[in-house]
Amino acid sequence: MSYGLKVKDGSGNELLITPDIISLYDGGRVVMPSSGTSGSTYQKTIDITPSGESSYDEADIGVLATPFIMNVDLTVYNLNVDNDFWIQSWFVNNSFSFYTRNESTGILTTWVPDKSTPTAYDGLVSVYPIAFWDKREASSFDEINIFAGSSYLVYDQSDSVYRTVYTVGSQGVENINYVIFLRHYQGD
Amino acid sequence: MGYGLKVYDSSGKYSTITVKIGKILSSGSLTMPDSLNADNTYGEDISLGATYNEDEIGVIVYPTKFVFKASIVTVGDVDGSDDVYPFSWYADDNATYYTKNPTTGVMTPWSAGSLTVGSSDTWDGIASAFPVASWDYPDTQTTFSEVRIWAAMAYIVYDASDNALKTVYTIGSSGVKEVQYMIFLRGT
Repeated sequence: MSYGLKVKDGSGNELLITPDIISLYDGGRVVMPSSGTSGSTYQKTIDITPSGESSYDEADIGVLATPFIMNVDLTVYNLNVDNDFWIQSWFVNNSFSFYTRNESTGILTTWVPDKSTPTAYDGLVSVYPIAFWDKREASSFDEINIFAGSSYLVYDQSDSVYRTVYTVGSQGVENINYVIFLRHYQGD
Repeated sequence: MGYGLKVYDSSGKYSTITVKIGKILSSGSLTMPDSLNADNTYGEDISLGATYNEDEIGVIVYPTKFVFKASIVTVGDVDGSDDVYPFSWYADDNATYYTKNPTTGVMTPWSAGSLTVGSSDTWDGIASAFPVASWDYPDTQTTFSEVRIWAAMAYIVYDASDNALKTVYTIGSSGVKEVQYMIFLRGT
């Protein structure tokens, strides 16, 4: 190694500081925006070049996010069998605003569950919270967009397709914990 | 740039070393406890050795060993054709579930229905189950001398006797038994 700054402790352990060392740029818990809008992206944005620094390459950024508070909108149908048992099926309800999400652009589009008749109900396979760095196929970044939502795996009866749909904000994931690491840090 | 130490490599890339440089304080696997703390919150506390602001701490936690507690009920050969067997999942009344106050972290026991024949209020269906893990702290806390690692198996259930959707959890050897975690600090 021909460059770097070597730091030693009293027991002989040493650290070689090079440009590859990381800075913990930001972290903690934030509240996600309370609602989404069809035709727009949805995110919590954190500026990583607040003083006009150069953009960071994707390889120089690490982002980890975890959802913290989750809300869901479901309905359950009980089939009474012989007046003894209640076999249940789960469907998405229609009191929240649901969206599909374009994975390339991050743009949300309204999706409306069909509650017109029981035969049209959209069945639920699973529901769970998610949160992640929404890169939208970019390769360099001035800011970090973190998407979070309640994710529903459903069968869309009217379209005869399986879909992943989301609710967001106060109807989905309210808070996230996150950490942003930067390599080749330019700030402060 | 008002301060810091720039370290270059031979190609001209640099990193500015400031107080945002990160270090790993603690990492590894953690066995989660089977019971609540004395104040009815839950989790394992890891000392930071000093007091830090929220944005100086980064925590990553992933559930790695987990089980779920549920009951399955099959109707049987529903149409006499010997090829259709609908089933449903329910909360297990032999398991200990908890609800969690998202603001305070206090967990309260929740009793699953007993799936009693002829009693519809005792059939608490499960829509989804998934493991969760996070850094847990009250919303009002902004400085920290320790980090609490929280983890559980989460269930989205229909509480039939309360006519309400709820998120409930099982813990420790009945939920998330082990997590892997890393705690980062800056400004040390």
